[in-house]
Amino acid sequence: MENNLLLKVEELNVEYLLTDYKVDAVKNVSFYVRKGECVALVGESGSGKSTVAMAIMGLLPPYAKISAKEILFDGKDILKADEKFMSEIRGRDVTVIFQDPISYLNPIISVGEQISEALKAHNPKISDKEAQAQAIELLKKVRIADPERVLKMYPFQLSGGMAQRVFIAMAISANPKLLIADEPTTALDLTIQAQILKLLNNLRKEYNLSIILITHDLSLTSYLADRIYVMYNGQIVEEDAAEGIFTNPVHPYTKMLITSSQAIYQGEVKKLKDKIASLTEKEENSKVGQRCNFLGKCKNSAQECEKEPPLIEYDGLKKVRCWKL
Amino acid sequence: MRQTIFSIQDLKKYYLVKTGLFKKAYIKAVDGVNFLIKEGETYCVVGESGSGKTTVTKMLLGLEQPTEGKIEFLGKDLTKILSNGGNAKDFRKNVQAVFQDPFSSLNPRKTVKDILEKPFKVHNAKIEMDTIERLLEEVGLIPPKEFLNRYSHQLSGGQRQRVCIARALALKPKVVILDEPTAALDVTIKAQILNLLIDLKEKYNLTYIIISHELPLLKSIADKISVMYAGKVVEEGPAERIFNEPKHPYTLGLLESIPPPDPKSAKTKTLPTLEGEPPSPVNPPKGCRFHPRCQYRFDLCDKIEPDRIEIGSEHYVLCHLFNRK
Repeated sequence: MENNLLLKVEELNVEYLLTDYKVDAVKNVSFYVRKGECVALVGESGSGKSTVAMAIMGLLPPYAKISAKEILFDGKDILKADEKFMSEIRGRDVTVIFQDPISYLNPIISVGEQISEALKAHNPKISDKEAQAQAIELLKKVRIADPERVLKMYPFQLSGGMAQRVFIAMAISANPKLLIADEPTTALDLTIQAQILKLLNNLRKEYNLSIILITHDLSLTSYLADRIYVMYNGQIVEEDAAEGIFTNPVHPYTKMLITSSQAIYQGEVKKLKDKIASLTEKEENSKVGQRCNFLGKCKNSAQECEKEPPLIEYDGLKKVRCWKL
Repeated sequence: MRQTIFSIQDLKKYYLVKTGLFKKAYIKAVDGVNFLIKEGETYCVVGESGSGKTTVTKMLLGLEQPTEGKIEFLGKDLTKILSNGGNAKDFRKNVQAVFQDPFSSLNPRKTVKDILEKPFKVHNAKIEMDTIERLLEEVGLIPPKEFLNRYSHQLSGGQRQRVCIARALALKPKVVILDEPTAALDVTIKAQILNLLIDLKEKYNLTYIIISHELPLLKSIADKISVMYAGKVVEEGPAERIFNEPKHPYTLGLLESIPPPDPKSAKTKTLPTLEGEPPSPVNPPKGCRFHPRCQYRFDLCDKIEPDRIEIGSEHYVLCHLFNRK
């Protein structure tokens, strides 16, 4: 095993057992994150990217059935760990920030108290005064201009961008090793989005923090991500360095994502017309059988696509799940 | 000369809020904006949350009364049209809306067929099954028979938005107002919906008013763009001028904040950001509202509010920089 490996997930499967049927949300997903690296999980809604993150955090609902060969975090298999161990590392070594920070902050507790609470959870000995001082330091780190005033505020008084900064401050309060950012800027405006992306990048450099960036917006990953895993319908369909994904997409779904993003950026959506016209929208997840997930949306499909393709190495650099290489 | 559909002069909307037991303040959501929207045009209003763009839409639809200013629809005062003696029904028939969240704008207890029949019933128009099926075909829900009896929860996000568009088009309106039509959708679906909108516009000679915070998307569809900031239009002009020769520092900052879908580009590596956040609408800064965030500000900017200056054909900007003689 590589020395600077922080997280290694091998053959992760998550099933949601619902009353009358089950949903295979994540199928056979393997990936790794190095120390100080930003890895992006990209996919559309329902592709299973958030479920992967929640499985690592141990935060899935009881009706979710997780199985994996191993989930190694910093050398320990957290799949076999008990709840006590998980609650120790959760919030300290592994933290998460969400899309909608305001709804994850307690509306009736001031920002200062919430940050202190986070600090005390992992260090019960510190006094209120010290916690306060540390909270101010944290708010400065996330570049809030007026920390003393913000500490006394309540979540509803914060703008979306400020709330996300407060949330990030809480997430980094215990010097985590891994930060999972689940659509961290989706609810934010363009200028604030750029600020938050920059902040995350600075924190990564400062703390040698590893980041798992979960997003449906490929353009965000171009700034932050070192490597990208593209997910479709619960599976990884392509993995490569960020540059490889953008300059040489191979899987038909990745190609479509890249051409769509580029066309939107360049204002040439019209040119896409024939390229994605053949694409009907995603079917219900429960119908997936033993065939290629992308079948029916793919122009290039052939006989063998009736069987499920494996994730195979391609060009020595990337891995792709497609028969037609 | 093309017909003027909406002419809006010095439109203002203030909301009264209580800030203390006896204290009151006004939220200046929209503070003096002018628009001239011509037939067949795609007129886009961009801005961050809180800039007042949605309030403008609500006033155009007659859902909010302006505090001051005048809206004229086809040369007639909108308040008169919507008053008792006016022809409100005709206005509603001609001006339709599509909203951001197709999950909450469709009645969950009605089938697609019910939803699409409703406009005809409201306006006592004859319904033929043909019409409904043709509408579904028009928005790309093919084969239509498969969708007629579905409920909205049986549709994906993109399909729901298509139903909303079909409903808006049912009565052959002149104008469709689209409030963040693609914000809730995945990238590939965004591109599809945009292409659908472009096609429908050409086919029916529609006039679109699009409200959005996703500036890059508008590049493919906009004829004219107004950029709003803190209740004011800071720049207005033909789309290609706004994208290629933006003049107002805020427009510049907004365009810079978009990471290009290319990790190698220099802009992605540096990602220039506009610091700070939009001001509170209760107490906007004195002088130019953008001056606290502006890197080009000079002594005039925090004292005097800039006037609307014409700097090119149909290109207006609200900035002192262009008034120095």
